Amino acid sequence: MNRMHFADSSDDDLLRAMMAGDEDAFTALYRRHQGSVYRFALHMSGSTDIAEEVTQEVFVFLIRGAKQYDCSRGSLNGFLYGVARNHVMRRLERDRSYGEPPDDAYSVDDDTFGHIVRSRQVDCLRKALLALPEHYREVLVLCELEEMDYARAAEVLECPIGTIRSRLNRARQMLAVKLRANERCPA
Amino acid sequence: MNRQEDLNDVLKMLADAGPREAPERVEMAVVRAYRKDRGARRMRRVVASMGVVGAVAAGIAVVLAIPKQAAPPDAVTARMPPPAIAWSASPAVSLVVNRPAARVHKSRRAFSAEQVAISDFVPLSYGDDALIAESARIVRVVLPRSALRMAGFNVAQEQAADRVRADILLGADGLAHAVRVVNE
Repeated sequence: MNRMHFADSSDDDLLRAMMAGDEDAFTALYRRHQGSVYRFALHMSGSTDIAEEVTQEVFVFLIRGAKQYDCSRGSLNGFLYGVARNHVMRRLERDRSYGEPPDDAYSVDDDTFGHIVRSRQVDCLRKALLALPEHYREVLVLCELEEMDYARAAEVLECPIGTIRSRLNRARQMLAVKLRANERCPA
Repeated sequence: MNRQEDLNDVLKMLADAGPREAPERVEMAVVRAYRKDRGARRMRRVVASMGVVGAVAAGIAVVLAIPKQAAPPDAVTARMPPPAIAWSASPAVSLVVNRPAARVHKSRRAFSAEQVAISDFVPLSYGDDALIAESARIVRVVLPRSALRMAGFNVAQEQAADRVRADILLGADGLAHAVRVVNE
């Protein structure tokens, strides 16, 4: 099997090849899933450093613990989200203990006026998102920012679909309240 | 921020903001981790197979180096004609079995010369000498000492879990009728 074939291969085939020692299969698997894992960690933590660290930890976990993945229980992507979620929660918990603030994850380097305004808007949104409790934030990140359907979000978060719906509704309300409060404050 | 559409626009903006993918250095790091893990697994396999080969070689060397001994079998059966037995009437019961020229199966190994019986056969409570007279077989086994209590042996509690070799006298019914302890 070479790289050309990997584009059409299923996750399970890639995983099997990876476990048999095929580095190209592992690279293909990484490239297929790293974006979603990275963005999830980024939205949840508000920090590119944490997002990078979590992405690395998730795939190192896959290297060492691929046998723990059971394809009959869900997709590989859902499994990776679950691992990423655990790592993010652990990291946030640790940072809370040390009181480390997240870095400026969404800042824009270009200093044109338009980008500065947009950067401030995004920064304001990010702060509102990060102010949500984690169990509301993760539903919002998965369903709204990552456009995951409710069934998959329920699989990743290991809760019923009804819980996803109600949490998402509540998260949107809370975010709206926080954004209104931010509008009243200077940027 | 009253309308749902506004909130959707805000969320869309947030979703589009920031990098979409992990930087290249993360891929390099995980690929390095993968190579390291594969290397470690290969090394473990090599060490394990060398261990197996070494163990087999050592086993062969030991077998070749040690002169053949009549090792005590775990279970050796000696068929014999019906023995003449005499039960003693005393509480320290003993069963004397006169075995005229007991024939040992050719396929089975004989009892070790180093092993000697340190007690006479002690009849078990349900023993029936008629069944032993009909035909008898002796089977050598390894028992926990505690099992000897049922034959009337006095076994200290701290030694109950120790294992001892014993000959079991089986009657025509296939049941154990007497036991004796064997010393190695």
